[in-house]
This record gives sequence, C-alpha cells and structure tokens, in this order.
Amino acid sequence: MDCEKCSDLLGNFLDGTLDGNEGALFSAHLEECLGCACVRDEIRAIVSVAAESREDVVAPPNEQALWLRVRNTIEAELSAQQRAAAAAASASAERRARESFLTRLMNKRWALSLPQLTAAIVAIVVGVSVITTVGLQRLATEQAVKTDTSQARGAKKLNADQLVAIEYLMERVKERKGRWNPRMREAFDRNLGIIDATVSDSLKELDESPHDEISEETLNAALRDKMELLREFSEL
Amino acid sequence: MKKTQLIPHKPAVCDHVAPRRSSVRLLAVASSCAAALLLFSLVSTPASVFAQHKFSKTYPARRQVRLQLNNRSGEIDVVGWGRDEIKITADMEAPAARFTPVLKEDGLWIDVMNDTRGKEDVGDVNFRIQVPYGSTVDLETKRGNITVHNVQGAMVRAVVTTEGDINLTGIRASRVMASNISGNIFFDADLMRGGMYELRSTQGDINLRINAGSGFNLTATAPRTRNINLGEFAGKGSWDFQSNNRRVTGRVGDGGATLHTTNLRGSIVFVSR
Repeated sequence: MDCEKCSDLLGNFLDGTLDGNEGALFSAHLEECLGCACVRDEIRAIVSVAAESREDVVAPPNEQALWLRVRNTIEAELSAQQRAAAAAASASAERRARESFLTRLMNKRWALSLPQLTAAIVAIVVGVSVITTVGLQRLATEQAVKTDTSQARGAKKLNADQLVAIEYLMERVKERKGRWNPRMREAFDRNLGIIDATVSDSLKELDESPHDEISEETLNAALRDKMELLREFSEL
Repeated sequence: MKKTQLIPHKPAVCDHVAPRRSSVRLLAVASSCAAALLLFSLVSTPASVFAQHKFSKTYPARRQVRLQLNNRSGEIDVVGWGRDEIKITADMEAPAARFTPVLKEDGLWIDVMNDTRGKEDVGDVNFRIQVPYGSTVDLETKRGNITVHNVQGAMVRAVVTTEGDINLTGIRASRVMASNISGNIFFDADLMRGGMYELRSTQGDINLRINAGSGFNLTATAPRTRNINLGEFAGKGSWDFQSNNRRVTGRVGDGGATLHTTNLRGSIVFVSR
C-alpha cells in the first residue's frame, strides 16, 4: 500500500469500517510510514475532541430555516460574484473599444506575403502623394487669400491716409472759407458735394462687388479730386 | 385893481433859429470830414487798383510762345491769331483784384492767385487773351469757363478746379488736357499721330468732335451713366465694351493718337466731322 491509498482509507479506518484485508494492509503501511502514522494520529485526536464536545452543541430550533438562510447567503454571494464578473467583462470590452485603431493595429501580428507587402507600399506612396498635393494646393490657396487680404489692407491703409489728409485740409478750408467770395463758397460746396456723392456711390458698388476694378478706380479718382480741391482751396 | 400887463412871449423865433444854425454847422463839419476821408483814401489807395480795374496790354511774342495763366475766378477766353503778339484784356470785378503779367524768355506768365494772396474778396477776373497760333497754352482757374480757340501749339491744358465749361475748338496740338468737376467739356480737334489727349470730368457731359479720318486708341470710362456713345466711330473701329459697358476700349484706324476720357457721373459722346 502506498501513501495515497492510505490517505483514501484513513477516514474508513477511523470510522472502523475497513475490512480485514484492507485493515491489515493499512496497519502494515502505518508501521512502515511515519508520515501517514502522524496524519492518522492527528486526525484521530481531532475526531476524539469532536466526539467529546458533541454534547455541548445546541441543535438549532428550526433547522430548515437555518438551511434556507445558508442557501440564500450562498446564492447572494454567487450572484455578487456573477455581477462582478459581468462588470469586469464589460469594462474590458469598453477598454478594448477605447483602444485606438493604431494601437490595435500595432498590437496585431502581421504576416504579409510579398505581393501584399508591395501593394501596401504602393498604397502608402499613393496616399502620401495625394495628401502632399492636397496640402500644397491648400497652402497655395491660403497664400493667395493672404495676398488678397494684404492688398485690401493696403488699399484700406491708403484710404485711411487719404482720409487723415482730407480731414486736415478740411480744417484749413473751414478756417479760410469765411473770407471767400460768396459765389466761390457756393461753388466749392456744390462741387465738394458732387465728389462726396461719387465717393459714396463707389463705396456702395464696392460693397456689392469688392473686386470691381472700375469702382476702385472711380473711388480713388474721386478721393484724389477731393484732396486736390481741398488743397487748392486751403490756400485761398 | 392893478392890471397885469401881458408881455407877448416871443422865444419861438430864437428857439427855431438856433437849432437850424447848429444843424447847418454839423452838416458842414460832417461834409468836411467826409471830404477829408475821401481825400485820404484816394491818396492812400494804390494807383494800380484803378489801373487794373480794366486791363489791356499787348506784349511782343515769338510764334511758339507759352502762355501760363493761373486765375482765381472768372472766365478765360484764349484765341489764336496771326500776329506775333500776346494781347491781354481783363475785366476785374472787385477793387482788390490785381495781377502783374511777367514776360519771361519762354513766354508770358499771369498768376492772379499769387498776386491776390491774402486778399479777401477778389471777385471775378475775366480774361480775353489773343496769342499766336503756335502757342502753348496752360490755363487754370478755380471757377469759371475756359474757352480756347484756334490754338495749334505743342500743348493745350485747361483745368477748372470746381465748376465751369471747357470749350476747346479748332485745336491742333499734340498734347491736350482738360478737366473740371462740374460743367461740360467740348473738344473739337484734329488728333495728331503720337498725340496724347486726356479729357476728364466728374459731372457734366464730354462731347468730342473728331475728324472722321483720325486714327486713335481710345479708353473711355463712364462708370455711373454707362453712357458712352461712339457715334460714327462705332462702325470704324474694333471695340471692347467692358464691365457692363462702363468702359470702352478700342482702336480706330492706325491708332496713332492716344485718347483717354473719363466722366465719373456724366456721358461721353463722339461726333465725327
């Protein structure tokens, strides 16, 4: 008899249910095996203690209800474990979903054949070319827009400079106007009004079509006329 | 009872005579003052004012002389004639008006603006000037009409800073410029090969009467009215109507002359002769 068989028969031995042949073999093994003999002694001591204290154990008043509670507790623990497992599975799925395409791609093992590798390289080259072309076109468009904007700013600046000069000349004219001949005063006012109307019309047209060349020319011509008129009359 | 004698009261005579004498005396004093004031003003006023109320003078000139006139207000009428002389006639509306023509080596210069600087009411100075046919004429005024007739020099320039009609007739010059703010421009001329002609108005009508055989490159712009009437030249040249007919460019004949005309708020009309 070996130790394993001895361990299996230990319970029956302690209960006294072993038959004669098995009992003899078991006893012979225990005499030869100190480990199994120690195990037999320890279990026998436990069983004897348990047998002695059996009288102190109070039987439950309602054994069926007790078992029911035990069962409920076990079931509750089981369902908690299931819920935890489900939550863990859901979190794992969520984490997987959150993982970027690139991460998944990188984590994936690739085993490409030569044609597949060639096709992949060609696809990458074509993709990079398309992206570069589109990018350059966009850059060119942005630069064109920037140029237009800077030209518009230049025009606006020029107009702003002209407006400052006009304001200065208007002040000078105002100072001197009282000394002019009434007919001269009237002629000045009338013609300044005509120029201002032209400026106003041109600005309206430019509002409607900002890149209209003739409206821009007209506006600049009218502003030049106004400056010239004011300059000449500021010396009168 | 004592009768009280009534003495006739006659102060009325004295009362009437005394004020009459004093008023006569006052009148005499006032008249003396006025006469003295008049005398003083006559003495103190420069003789030139009276001399230039009407001005007329003739200057000797070469055939291709230059007349430069910068007026303040008033009409300017320049006519070419067959003499080698410049004759200036001027009517001055206000006493403050004055000018002193300056005869230089290259021509005659009249600058009313400069000669009346600081004067308050100069009024109109109306000029009539006769120049040799071959003269170069450069005229400016702040207000008033300008007429140039039969001048065939190198250049004719007529500028009205505000309002006034410009009539250029019988012109045969290789450089012509005319501009005003309001008022019509009438240009009746022979366009010369290589010549440059520029007519510009803000509001008014520009009428051009050009020899039917002239060759020229045209740029005509009328942004507000879009009224550019090429007349008979419409069928004689190749034209490009741009920006909804606001500008017309094109060429007639050999395109020898260059003609630019712009009318910001008026029309441009061509007539051939």
